[in-house]
Amino acid sequence: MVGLGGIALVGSLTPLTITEATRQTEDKFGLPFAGPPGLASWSVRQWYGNTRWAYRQRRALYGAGQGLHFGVDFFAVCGTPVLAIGDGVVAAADGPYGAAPHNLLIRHTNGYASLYGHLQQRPTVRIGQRVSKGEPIAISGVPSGADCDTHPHLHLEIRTSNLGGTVNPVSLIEADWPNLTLGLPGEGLDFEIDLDNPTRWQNIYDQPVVRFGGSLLNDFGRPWPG
Amino acid sequence: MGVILARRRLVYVVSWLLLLAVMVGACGESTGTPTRPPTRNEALPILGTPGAAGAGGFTSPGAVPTNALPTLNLSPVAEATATSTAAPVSAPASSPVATNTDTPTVAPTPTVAPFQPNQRQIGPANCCLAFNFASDGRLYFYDKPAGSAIPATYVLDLASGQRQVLSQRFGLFSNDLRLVAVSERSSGVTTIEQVSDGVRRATLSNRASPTLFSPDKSQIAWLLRSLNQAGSEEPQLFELWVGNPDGSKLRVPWTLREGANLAWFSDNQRLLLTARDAANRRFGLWVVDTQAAPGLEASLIIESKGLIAASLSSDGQQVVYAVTLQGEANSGIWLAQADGSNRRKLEWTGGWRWSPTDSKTLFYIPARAPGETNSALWSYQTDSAQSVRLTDPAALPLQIAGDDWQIAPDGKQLIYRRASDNALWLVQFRG
Repeated sequence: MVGLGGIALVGSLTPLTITEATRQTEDKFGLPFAGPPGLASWSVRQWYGNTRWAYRQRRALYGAGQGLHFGVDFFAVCGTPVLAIGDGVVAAADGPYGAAPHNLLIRHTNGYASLYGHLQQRPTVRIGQRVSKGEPIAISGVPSGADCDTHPHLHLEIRTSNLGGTVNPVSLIEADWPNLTLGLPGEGLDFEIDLDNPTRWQNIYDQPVVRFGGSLLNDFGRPWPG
Repeated sequence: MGVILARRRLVYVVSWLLLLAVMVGACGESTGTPTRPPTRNEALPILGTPGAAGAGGFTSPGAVPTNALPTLNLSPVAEATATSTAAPVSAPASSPVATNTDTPTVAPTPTVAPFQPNQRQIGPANCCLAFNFASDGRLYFYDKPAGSAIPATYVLDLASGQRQVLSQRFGLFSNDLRLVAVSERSSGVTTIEQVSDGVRRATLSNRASPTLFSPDKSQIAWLLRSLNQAGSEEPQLFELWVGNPDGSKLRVPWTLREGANLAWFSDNQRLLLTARDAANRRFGLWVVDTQAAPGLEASLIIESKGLIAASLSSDGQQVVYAVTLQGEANSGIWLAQADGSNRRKLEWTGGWRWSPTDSKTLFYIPARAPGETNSALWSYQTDSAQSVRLTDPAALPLQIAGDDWQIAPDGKQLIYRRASDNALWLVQFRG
């Protein structure tokens, strides 16, 4: 359904310096699609973190990301324009960051980088090009191996400055997040329960930072669903 | 004198008939009022009618049934209206038609305060996972309360707020909470157990697939994800398994792709699910008859791509389903008969639950429009196509985490998880 294919997660780009003061004074990021969510346009179908879908794919798709879903999946019709979530500079197109078949990486002045994955085609923006928040930068598609009838979506990550991990986009993007699912259910919208520690990571706001290459965080002894 | 008295009585009766006619007219009685998308912030024309559209409800025009015409033998009735500006209506204590007294009694009826929907927190922050209602009205959930070393499945008495342990096991329960299907990853099996004493009735080697009881718990079903997949991103292959809860008569009536939203019909024989056929050619909403002849079990009742959710009415006669990313005309929330006939697109987008008590009532919570911060509960009558707002988002803010809400079996209460802190809240939306 919603995943990543063949990810090489750590980049060689020079990390930017991030300070807490910088983060707090920067405007929040925006959403990667224009217009409100809707059943015909786009909606969130997988949260960041400890999702049920990620649990089932914790080794196959997300093993390098500690078993968690290290982005947010926005379902959208193939061909939907993708917008930059913030001002920045194009750092890579089809770089070694996973989310095949095509991806785009943008560096932001606040130190974070945004990665747009499962794009329909190689982005036409140039490396080094400055982009503005809300500017169309790519076209959404579907993961390699799937077709546009099977979970077409944009996989959006917000990476730490050294590209070695990801943070929860919910905390960094200004949006009415609970409303972006349109109130509908889905496996990617529910969180896997550790029956021995059932209250951990059960909220869209409370999800762990992912460090690529770290050990699985969700290899629960008593998971639900199993 | 007798003539005068007769005239007085006549005038009195006519006066009451006129008054009642005005009242009925004010109800906006109209069965033909078309449904339009609810505008969440608008103040709907209101005149609640207890017992009709729900006491304390915010009733749209036409929501008062035609059989609500009052008789003259009025009992004390509170015409519940949240914004009523009309003077309190005084109804005669007894029928003026039946009286033989010279001076009819026109005693004011005691006014009953209109019911106001309300809500209260019933569980602390970050508690009470996978909550649901048993058929007898008990709320149950899985939790590890602060200070407790052992997590367990609890039942909560909504009136007293007292909780007690139902079981230290967790899984999918039968509607009466007598059986539980516990799926354990470590062993790869699902065990069917009696809740009261833990006695094991069956052990299913189903790779710990969540196992669903039929309404009378005479049957079980699960979707088994095949190990033989072309790739993790490609349409996933499943087997649908059914059998008896003692583990006998297990069989696979259908093999499919991308199966989800599995639900039993009330006949304990048929199953509903969203899926594709194994050849990945036909997409949509399927009914599987577990008693049909081999090869004839699965019927495609709604053919559509992008079908992501579906659920059956309590009597199994109707189905509501959601279609995404299929263009403006086809994407939306749809209602149909359970054989796929009489499809019609509903004019709202949001999560829904069928009423446990009325198979023609659908509760729904529309997605919020830009700028709105709180949600509201609505009901929709499938026979009259009327929508009624049951809670006022300004007075009763609902901040629901995703689709995490349930309607109590009495059809008067809603339980939801608050988005900000995962606390559990109860909304009494009908008296």
